[in-house]
Amino acid sequence: MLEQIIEGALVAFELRHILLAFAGSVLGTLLGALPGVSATLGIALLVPLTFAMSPVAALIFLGAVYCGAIYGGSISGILLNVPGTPAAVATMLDGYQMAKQGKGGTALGIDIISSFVGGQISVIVLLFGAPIVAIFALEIRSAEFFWIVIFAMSTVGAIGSTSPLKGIIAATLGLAIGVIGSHPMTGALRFTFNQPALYEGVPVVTALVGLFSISQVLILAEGKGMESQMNVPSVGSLWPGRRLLWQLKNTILRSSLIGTIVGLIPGAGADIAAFIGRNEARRYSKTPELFGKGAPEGVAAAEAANNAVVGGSLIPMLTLGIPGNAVTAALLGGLLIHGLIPGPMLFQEAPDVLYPFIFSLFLANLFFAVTAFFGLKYVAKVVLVPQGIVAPVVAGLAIIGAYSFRNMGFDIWIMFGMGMLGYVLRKADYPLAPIILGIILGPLAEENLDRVMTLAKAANLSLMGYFLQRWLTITLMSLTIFTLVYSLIRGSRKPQSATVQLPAEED
Amino acid sequence: MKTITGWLVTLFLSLVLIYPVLAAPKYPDVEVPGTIRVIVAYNAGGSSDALARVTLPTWEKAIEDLTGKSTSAIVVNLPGAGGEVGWTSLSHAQADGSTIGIINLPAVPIVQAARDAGYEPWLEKFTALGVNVIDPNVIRLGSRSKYNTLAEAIDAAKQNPGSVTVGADGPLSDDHVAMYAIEKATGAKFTFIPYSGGSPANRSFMSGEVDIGIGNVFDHVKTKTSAKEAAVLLNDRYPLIEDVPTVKELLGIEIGEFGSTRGFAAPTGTPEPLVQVYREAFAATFNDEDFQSEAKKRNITIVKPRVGDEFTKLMEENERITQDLLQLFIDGGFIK
Repeated sequence: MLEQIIEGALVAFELRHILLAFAGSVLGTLLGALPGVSATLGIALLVPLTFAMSPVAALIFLGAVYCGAIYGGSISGILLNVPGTPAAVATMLDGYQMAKQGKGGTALGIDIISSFVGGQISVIVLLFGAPIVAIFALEIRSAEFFWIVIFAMSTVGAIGSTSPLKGIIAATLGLAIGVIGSHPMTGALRFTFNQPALYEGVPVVTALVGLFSISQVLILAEGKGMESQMNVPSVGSLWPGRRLLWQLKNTILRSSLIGTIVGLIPGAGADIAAFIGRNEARRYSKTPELFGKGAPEGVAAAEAANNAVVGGSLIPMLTLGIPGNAVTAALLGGLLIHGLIPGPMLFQEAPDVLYPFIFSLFLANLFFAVTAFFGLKYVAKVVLVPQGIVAPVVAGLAIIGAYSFRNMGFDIWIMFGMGMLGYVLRKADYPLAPIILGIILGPLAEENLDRVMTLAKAANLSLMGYFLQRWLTITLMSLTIFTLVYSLIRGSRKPQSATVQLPAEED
Repeated sequence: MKTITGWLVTLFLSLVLIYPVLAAPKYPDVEVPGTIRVIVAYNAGGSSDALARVTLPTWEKAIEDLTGKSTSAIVVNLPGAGGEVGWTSLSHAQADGSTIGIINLPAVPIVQAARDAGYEPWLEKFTALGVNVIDPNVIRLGSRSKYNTLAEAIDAAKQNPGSVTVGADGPLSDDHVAMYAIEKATGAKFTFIPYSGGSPANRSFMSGEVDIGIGNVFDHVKTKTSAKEAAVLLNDRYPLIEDVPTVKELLGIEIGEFGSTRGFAAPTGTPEPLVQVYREAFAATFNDEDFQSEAKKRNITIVKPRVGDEFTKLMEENERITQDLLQLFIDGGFIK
C-alpha cells in the first residue's frame, strides 16, 4: 500500500497534473466567489469539460474545483455580506462584521489560513482512512449495503438544513425519479415510454445539471440582471499576525476535525459543518458574546470546518459509492463517466487513479491559499459580474453539458424538465440535494433489497430472518431507526432561535 | 563529383520508380471514405472502447496499404439502454462504408430476445467484418461456500433446486447465459443473483454472499484467492490462466465455448468491395505483432482472429445458443 501511496504522490506531482490542480483550484475559487454559483453547480457545469481527459486528470481537476469553490464562497461573504456558496453563510456572520470594522484584511487572512488547514487535515484523514474503510467495506454484503443506503436517506430528514418533512418529501421525489429505467434484477423497463434514452434511468449528471443550473438560471432571471454593481471595499494587509493565529490554533484544529466527521455523515454538507464548527467554537470561547459581532474565532471555526468537509465527504463516496451530499454526488457522476465505479473494489482496481487524486487535493488546497494571498484583489472582482451575464452563460454550459454526456438530444429535455422541477421546489423552499441523493440511492436500495429477497428465498429464510443473521446488519438497522425517531422528534419541536435559516440550496 | 551526383540521381530515380511497384495497393480502385465512424455502444473507458482505440490506428494503416488511400477512423461512443442505442444507430447508419461498429455477443441477440430492439433482426442487419476478442467465462466456487467442490455444488443444485446461489454481472449478460448453459448441461437449477457490473459481483463473491461466481478472465484473476475451485468454459485451457482447467476436465461436461465477444461489423448493404477491404484490413491488423502486444498490455483478451464468414458463423452460433436457452430466461422471469 505504501508503494501505491508514493507512486500516487509522484503521479500527482507530474507537471500537467499540477497545472490541472491549479486551474481547477483557481476556477473553483472564482466560481465559488460568484454569488449564485455553488460548489455543486460549479462541478456539474465542469464535468463535461473532463469527458476527453484521462480518469486521473478528470478527478484531479474536479477535486480541485471542489476545494476551491468551498473556500471561494467566503470571499464575497466577508466583503459584501453575500455568500458565494451556502457553505459560506456561517463564515459571513462574523466575517462581514469584521470587514465593517475595518478588519476585512484580517478576516480574509484568517479565512484563507483556516480553509487551508481545515482542507489539509481532512485530506490526511482521507489518505489514511479511506483505504482502511475500503478493506472493511469488502465484508459488506447486500443486506448491509441496503441498510447503509436507507441510513443515508434517513439522515436527510434528521440533519438536513430545512424542515425534516420537506427534506423527506424531496428525497421521496428523488426516489420516484430513480425508479425510471430498467429494473435492476429482471431488466424489465419501467416508465420509459419507449424512449431508449430512459432505458438506463435518468442520468445522474443530466439530472444534476438541470436541477441545479437551470433552476439557478431561472432564479437569477427574476432579477433585473445588472444589480450586482457593488463596490468591493479595499482591504488592508491579509496577514492576521502570529499572535492572533496562535490564539486561533485550537479553534482551527477542533473545527477541522468536526468538519471531517460531519463530511463522513451522509446528508450533511459543508454548510452544516460550518455551523456546527462555529457553535462549538462559541461554546469553548472565553468571549462568546463577541460572536456575531466580528469574532475572529467565528471566521476561523466556520471556514476550517467547511473546507474539512471535502476530505471527509470523499470517504463514503469513494469506498462505498454513497455520496453524502450534492457536491460528492456531482463528483460521483464524473467518476462514473470515466468507467470508475466507486465502491470497496475501487481501491484494489484503481489505486493508480485514487492516490494521485487524493494527493492532488493537498495541492489544490495550497493553490487556492496562494492565489488568494497574492491575488485576492482580482479574485474579488468576480462578484461584480452582473447576473445578466452569469445566467445565460450558465444556461449555455448546462445545455452543452447535458448533450455532450451521451450525445442524445433527449437529454436536453430531461435537463430542462429537471430544471423546471428544481425551480418550483426552490420557490417552495424545498432542498434540492435530497432529490439527487434519492436518484442515486433509490436504485441502490432497490437493487440490494431485491437481491436480499432472492438470497433469503434461496436460503429458505424470511426477509427478517435473513437480516437478523449478521450483527453488522442489526447494528445498521438500529442506527437507522434511531435516526428516524430523532428526526421525528426534531420535526415536532418548534425551531429554536439558535438554528439559523439556511438557504434551500445545499453544498 | 559529377559521377557521385549522377549515381545519386540514378539511385533516387530508380527508388521513385520502384516504390509504387513495391507498395502497389491491392485494391487501387476501391473508394474509401475519408472518415469512418466506429460506433461503440458503451462509454469511453470501457473494454469495448479500449478495443476500438487500440485496433483502429493499425487498421487505418492497413486500409491505406490495401487501397493507397488514407482514411481516419474515429470512435463514436453511443452508450445507453444496455447497448441498444449504439447497435440501433449502427444498423440504421448509411451503408456506404462511412460507419462501422463493434457488436457485442451474446448481448446483441439477448437484448433482441428480451424486447423489441431497434436493430431487429440482427443477423440480417449486421455484416460481419472480423473479431479477435473473446473473453471466456470462468465459473468459480467461493472459498466461504459450504460446498467443497463445484461438482458438489452442482449436485446440491440438482437435489434441491434453487438452493445454490450464483452471483454475476447481469441480468441478460454473458455470465447469465453461461449459467443457463451449465444448468441445461447438468440439470441443476441455480438461483441467479445479478449485480450491476463485474466489480460489485466480484465483491460479493469475495464476501461470501453467493456460493458460485461466474465472470470473465480478469474477474477470476482479481478474486483468485477467494476461490476454492475454478473452471473455464472453453474447449481448451486459456493461455492467460493456464492453471484453470476447462469445464470438461473438471466436471466432465461438454457444453461448448462461452464468453463475451467483441467484434467489428458493418451495416448490411455496405458495398461488397469495401467490405472486402475492411475484412482484409482487420485480418492484417489482428496479425500485426505490435497490435497484439499493445492489446495484451491493456488486458484485452485476444484469441485466434476470425474474419468474414468465420465471424458470421460465430454470430449464427450465438443466435442459436440464445434461442436454445430462451426458455430458461423466460422461466427465470428475465424475459417475458
